[in-house]
Amino acid sequence: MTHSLHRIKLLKEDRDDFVFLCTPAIGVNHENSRKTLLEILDIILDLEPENINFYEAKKDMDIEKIKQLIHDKSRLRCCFSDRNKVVKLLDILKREDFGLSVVISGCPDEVEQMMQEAGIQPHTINMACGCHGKIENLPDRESLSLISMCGHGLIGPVLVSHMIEKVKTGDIKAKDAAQLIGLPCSCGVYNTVRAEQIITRMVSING
Amino acid sequence: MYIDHENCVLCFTCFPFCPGQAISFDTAKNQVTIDQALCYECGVCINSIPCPGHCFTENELSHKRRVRKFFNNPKSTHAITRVPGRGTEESKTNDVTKRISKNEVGLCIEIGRPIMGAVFNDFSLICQGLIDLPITFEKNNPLYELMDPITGKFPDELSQERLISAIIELKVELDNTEIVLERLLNLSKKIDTVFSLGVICEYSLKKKVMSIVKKHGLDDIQNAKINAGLGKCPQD
Repeated sequence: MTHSLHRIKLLKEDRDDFVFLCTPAIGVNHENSRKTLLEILDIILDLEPENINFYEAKKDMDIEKIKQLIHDKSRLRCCFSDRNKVVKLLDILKREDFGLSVVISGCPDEVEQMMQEAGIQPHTINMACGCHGKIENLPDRESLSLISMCGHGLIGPVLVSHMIEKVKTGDIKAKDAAQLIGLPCSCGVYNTVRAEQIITRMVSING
Repeated sequence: MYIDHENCVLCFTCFPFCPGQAISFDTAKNQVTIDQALCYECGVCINSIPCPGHCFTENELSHKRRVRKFFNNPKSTHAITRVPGRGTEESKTNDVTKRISKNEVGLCIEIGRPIMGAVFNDFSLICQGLIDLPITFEKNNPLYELMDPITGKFPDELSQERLISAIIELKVELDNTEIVLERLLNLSKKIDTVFSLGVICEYSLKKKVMSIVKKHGLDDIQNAKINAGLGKCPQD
């Protein structure tokens, strides 16, 4: 699932958006990876990512319950707006040598630079080479920049326009709208901080 | 998915949340209803919507509905790859799996993303259009399991089953990347939806691959997933 690859970024400030993925390779090194995943999870939680979620989580489940459900094939996914946190995380993971694959999704120049700062030589790159086909039927780019933050395509344009309208009429604040739009995203890569910035921009541009 | 009408308080909170826009109000029956043709079985209604009556429920699914669920609900474990989150590893574990190795380029063609969705006929169009080229499909991929490996066609019974998106994964020798990209971009003019394209290579090959994608005007790369090479095989 290239669920964090195709994030649409419109402005320079949108570059402060990084997705972290830690993935056991099924059939290769996934056996007994639960303990390692939990150790890495604690490191991540200390860094306070903008968002984190788990396929195993049920609605309103607290983190200690979720930890009990983590298993050898679980995946860790979260997102950050602060590049320094990502560099720190990479530094720790390199030092601890846990042996699980780590991917950072973001603007390629930024991510390359961050890995360099952590003393890491990248192994593989997956480059987002655009959207093709009936692109004239897509919603506007601002809406897409919100929609594309959900890795599994679970945020629809109707939800975005509905919440934007509620912000415009003063029913809710941009921060609340960002949270509500992100509710369907179950993998934790939806960046609520960036979403709030985009929503604020959309409301001020479009009146 | 179905609605328990006894508990539904007609607050209509759910309407905008459905990515398939399958939820609406039936004025004749005075009930909130789900259009099963549009319903992706993605589970957003059960897992995420703040429904005060907890009205959404999932009944036993037919084979075709199960296919929808496995591809659309990230909380379901895929029956074929046996992993959650819709399955594929692609480049995420390439440091360990070496799926895409030194002289190869991987393509992940995510049909239906963003937001337009796709039916299996769309996957047939792309796979049938590429099958005669010197490519290797990724076998550990849920779409591959359903595809006829000779023709690239998907079963007729699934032809109109609706997916939010799914990824065709394949790889090609570096020297053949151009012809595959050219064919793929030609196919994009025929497809009735959209697809998002990812191009994968080992980092040492990045400059060569960039020069190839640039020839096709694909070099405005706003985002990338970079594997840090921290993964290890147990025997390492």
